[in-house]
Amino acid sequence: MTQIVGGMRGPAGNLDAVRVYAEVARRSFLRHSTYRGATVAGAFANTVFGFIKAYIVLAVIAQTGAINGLDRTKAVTFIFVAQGMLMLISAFGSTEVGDRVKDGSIATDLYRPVDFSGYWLAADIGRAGFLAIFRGLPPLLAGALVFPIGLPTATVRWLEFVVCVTMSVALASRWWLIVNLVAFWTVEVRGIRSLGIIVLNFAAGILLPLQFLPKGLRAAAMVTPFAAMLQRPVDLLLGLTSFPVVIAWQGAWLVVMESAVRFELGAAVRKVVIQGG
Amino acid sequence: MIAPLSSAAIEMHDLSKVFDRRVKAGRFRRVNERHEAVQAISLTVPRAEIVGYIGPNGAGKSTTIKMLTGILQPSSGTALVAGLVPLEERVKLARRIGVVFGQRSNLWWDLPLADSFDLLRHVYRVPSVDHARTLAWLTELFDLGGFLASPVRALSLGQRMRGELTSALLHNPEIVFLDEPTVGLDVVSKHAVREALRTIHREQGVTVVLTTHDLADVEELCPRLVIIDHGRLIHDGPTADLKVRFGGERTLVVDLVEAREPLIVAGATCTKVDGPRQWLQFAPVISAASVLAAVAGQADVRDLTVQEPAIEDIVRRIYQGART
Amino acid sequence: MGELRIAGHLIWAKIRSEAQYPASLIAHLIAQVLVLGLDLLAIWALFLRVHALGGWTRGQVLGLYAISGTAFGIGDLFVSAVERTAEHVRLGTFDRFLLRPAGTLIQLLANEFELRRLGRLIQPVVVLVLVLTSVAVDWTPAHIALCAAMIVGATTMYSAIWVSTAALAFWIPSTQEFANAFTYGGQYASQYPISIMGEWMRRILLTAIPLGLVAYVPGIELFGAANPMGIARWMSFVAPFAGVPVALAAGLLWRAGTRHYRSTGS
Ligand SMILES: Nc1ncnc2c1ncn2[C@@H]1O[C@H](COP(=O)(O)OP(=O)(O)OP(=O)(O)O)[C@@H](O)[C@H]1O
Ligand SMILES: [Mg+2]
Repeated sequence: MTQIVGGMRGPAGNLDAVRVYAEVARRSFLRHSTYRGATVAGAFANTVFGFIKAYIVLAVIAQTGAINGLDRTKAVTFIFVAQGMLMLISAFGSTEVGDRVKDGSIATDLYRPVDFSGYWLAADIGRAGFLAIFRGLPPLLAGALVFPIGLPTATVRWLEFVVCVTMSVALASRWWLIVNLVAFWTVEVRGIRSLGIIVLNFAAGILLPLQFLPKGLRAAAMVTPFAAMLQRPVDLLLGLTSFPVVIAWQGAWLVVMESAVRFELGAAVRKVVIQGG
Repeated sequence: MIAPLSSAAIEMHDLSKVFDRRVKAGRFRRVNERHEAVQAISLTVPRAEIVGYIGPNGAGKSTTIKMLTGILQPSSGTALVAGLVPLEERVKLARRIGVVFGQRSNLWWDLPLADSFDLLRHVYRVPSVDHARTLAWLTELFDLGGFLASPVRALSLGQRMRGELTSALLHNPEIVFLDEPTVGLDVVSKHAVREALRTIHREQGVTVVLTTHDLADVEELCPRLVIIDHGRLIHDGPTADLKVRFGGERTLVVDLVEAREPLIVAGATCTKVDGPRQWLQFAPVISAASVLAAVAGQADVRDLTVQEPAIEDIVRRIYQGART
Repeated sequence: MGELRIAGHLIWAKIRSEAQYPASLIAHLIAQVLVLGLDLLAIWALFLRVHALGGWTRGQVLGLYAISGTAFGIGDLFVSAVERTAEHVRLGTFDRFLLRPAGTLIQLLANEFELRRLGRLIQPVVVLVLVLTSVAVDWTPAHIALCAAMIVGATTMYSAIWVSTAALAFWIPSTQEFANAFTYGGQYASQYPISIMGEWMRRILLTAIPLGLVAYVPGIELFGAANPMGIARWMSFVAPFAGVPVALAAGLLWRAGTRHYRSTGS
C-alpha cells in the first residue's frame, strides 16, 4: 500500500512521472477553461469586492498617511493583486478531495499508479494557471481604471513573483488536502473547512492587508503559512520585502505541510486497509 | 379566460414546442440550432378515457406532457386541460391534475413516506377527513402499509414508484399524466401498478394519459393508442385496430397426426416445419377458419393454436417505417 | 396567507430532518458566527487607526453594520436559498414546483430552507443589541419606527436582490458568483458609510442597487451621524421604503424566468 501511495518510483522512471504530472496539469487547465460563464462571473465578483475594499482602505490612509509602508498606491495595488490571487489559493475553500472521500471514489485515487499528493498538486497548478490569467488579471485591469495602481517594471521582480505565486499555489494545495483528508475520520468536514477558510482569510491578508493590523496580531499572522500564501508574495511585488525571505518562508512551510499531508495520507491508507473503507 | 365550451379533458390544437440548442461548431464557436420537439399535434381526449401515448425515444412525449401540465410554455398552438390553459392557470390546474414522471421524484427524500403525503395534503389544501379517506384507500390499493414510515431514500424502486403514484392521486385529480410509471419495475410490481390504475379508473372515472415503453402496459390498460414520432402524430385509434391497420400476419400452428412435407394452402405460407408441427402464416384479411379448413382437407389435425402478431412487432415496424 | 401556511409546513418538515444531525447543525452555527467575526475584526482594526470613517464614529459604523447584518441575516435565513434555482434549472427538478398548486418561489424557498443559516443572524443581532444600547440613539417613537423600518426595508432589499440575481439562472447558467457580487458584495458595502466610496459607486448604491437608501441614509438620522453628502432629512424617513419597488421588480423578473424555464429532456 505505501508503495502505491509512495508512487512513481520503480521502473517507470522520473521522466515519465514528469510527463504524467504535466498531463494532469494540462487537463485540469482545460477542464477549468470550459467553465466560461462562471469564470466571467467570478472575475466580476472579485473585482466588485476589490473596489469596496479599496475605498475603505483609502478612507483610512487619507487620514493616517502610509501605514507600515503601504501608501495609497501600494495599498490599492495590494488589494487588487490579492483579489486576483484569491482563487489561486482557493480562499473560499476546496471540497473536491473531501467529497471524494465521502463518496468513496478516493479509493480509486489511492490505487492509481500516480503519487496521490503529487497528482493533486499537478491538478491544482493546472487550475491555477487558468485562473491566474482569467481571474487574476481582470480585477487588476479594472482596478487600474479607477485607482492609481503601481506595479514594478523590472522583469526580475516579476519572475520572482511568478515563482512565489507558484509556491503559494503549492502551499494552498497542501493546506486544503490536509483539511479535506480529515474526512477520513469525521463525517462533518464542513465545519472544519469553514474554520480553515476563516483562518486563511484573516492571516493571508485577504480580509485586510496585514499592515493594517495592530503590531502583535500582525506578527502572529506573518509567521503562518497563510501569510506565505498571499501577503508575502504581494509584499514582494510591491517591493516591501525581498525574494530570499519570501521563498525561505514558503519553502519551510511547504516542507512542513507536505510532511503533514504524507503523514495524514499514511494514516488514512492504514485505516482504509484495516477497515475496508 | 372564457369558460370552457367543451367537456373534453384534454384538447390540443397544433401544439408545438421548439427548443433552441447551442451546439458546438468548431473549437470555440457555438451556433443556435432549432429543434422541433413537438410539431403541430392536435388531439382530443374525452373525460374518463385512458389513452396510451407512445413513441420512440426522443419522440416528444415528455415534452407534450410538460406543456399540458404547465411546466413548459408551448412555442405555438393551444392546449386546454380540464378547460384551463396550462401555464396561464397553473395553480388552478395543478389542483385538478396528478402527474408522475417516472424518472423524477415528487417526494421528500429524507422524510418518511407518510410525512411526504402529509405535506402534500397541506400543499394541495385537502381537508384532513378527505385526505385520510383517500390515503386509506390508496394505501390498500398500492399496498403501502409496510413502508409508510420509511424515509423515501430507503425505499426500493418499486416501493417508491407506488409512493409516487399515491402522491399524484392523493388530491383526487380528474386527469392523471403518467410518464413512464413502470420504468424499472419487475413483473410483479408492474402488474400491481396496472391493477391499481385500472381500479382507480373504474372507481373514480379519472382520465389517464399514459406514456410507456412497455407495450404490455398499453395493451392491458389503454383502449386508445396515440403514437408520435419526431414530434408528429403518426397514429391515433383504438389499440385493437392497430393490428388490422398495420397488418402483422397471424400464424396458424397445427400439430398433425403424422409428419409430412410442408402444406400448400392458398393465402397462407408455411414458414416452419418441426416434425408433425407446422407454422402457416396468413394475412390479416384472411380468416383463420378458412386456412384451417384447407389444412384439414389435406391432413389430419390433432391440435392447433392461432398466434396473434406481437404488439411489439407491430409498433417496432411502425417506428421503423416512420424513421425511413 | 395560505401560501405562508404551506411554507410553514414545509419549513417545519425541513427543520425536523435537519435536527436529525444536531452536531452538524451546531458546527455550522459556530462556523458562521466566526466567519462574520472577520467583518467585526476588520472594523475594529481600522478604528484602531482612525477615529471616524466618512465622519462616522466606531459606534455608529457598528450600528450600521448591525442593522445591515441583521437584515442580511434574515434574508439569508429565508431567501438566500433562492440561490439553488440554478441547480434546479440545470437538473430539471424545478418541474415539481410548477406542478404543485402554490407559488414557485415560496415553494423553492421553503423546500431549501436550512436552519443552519441562522448562524448569519445570531452575531449581528447580538451586536445590534449591544450597540443600540450603548451608542447615543435618541429613542423617540419616530426613531424606534425608523430603526424598525430600516431592518424591514433592508431585509426586503436584500431579498429582492437575491431573487433577481437568482432568477437570471433561468436564462444563463452559472451566475452564482455574479449574484454574490450583489448580495454579499452589497452587504459588505453597506457596512460602511457610503460617503467614503467613489462618486460612481455611491450613485449605484443610491439608485441601481439602492442598498444605501435602506441603511446609510436612514442611519444618518437614527445615529445623528455625519452627513457629508448633505442628504435631506426627510429622505431618511422615506428611503427605507426603497425596498418595495425593487421587490416588485424582482417578482416580475422571477415570473418571466419561470416562463422561460425549459426543463430538461428526460
Ligand atoms: N429541455 C430541453 N432542452 C432541449 N431539448 C430538449 C429538452 N427537452 C427535450 N428536448 C429534446 O426534445 C426531443 C423530445 O424529447 P422528449 O423528452 O419529449 O422525448 P420523449 O418522447 O419523452 O423520449 P423518451 O422516450 O426518451 O423519454 C428530444 O430530441 C430531446 O432531446
Ligand atoms: Mg420521456
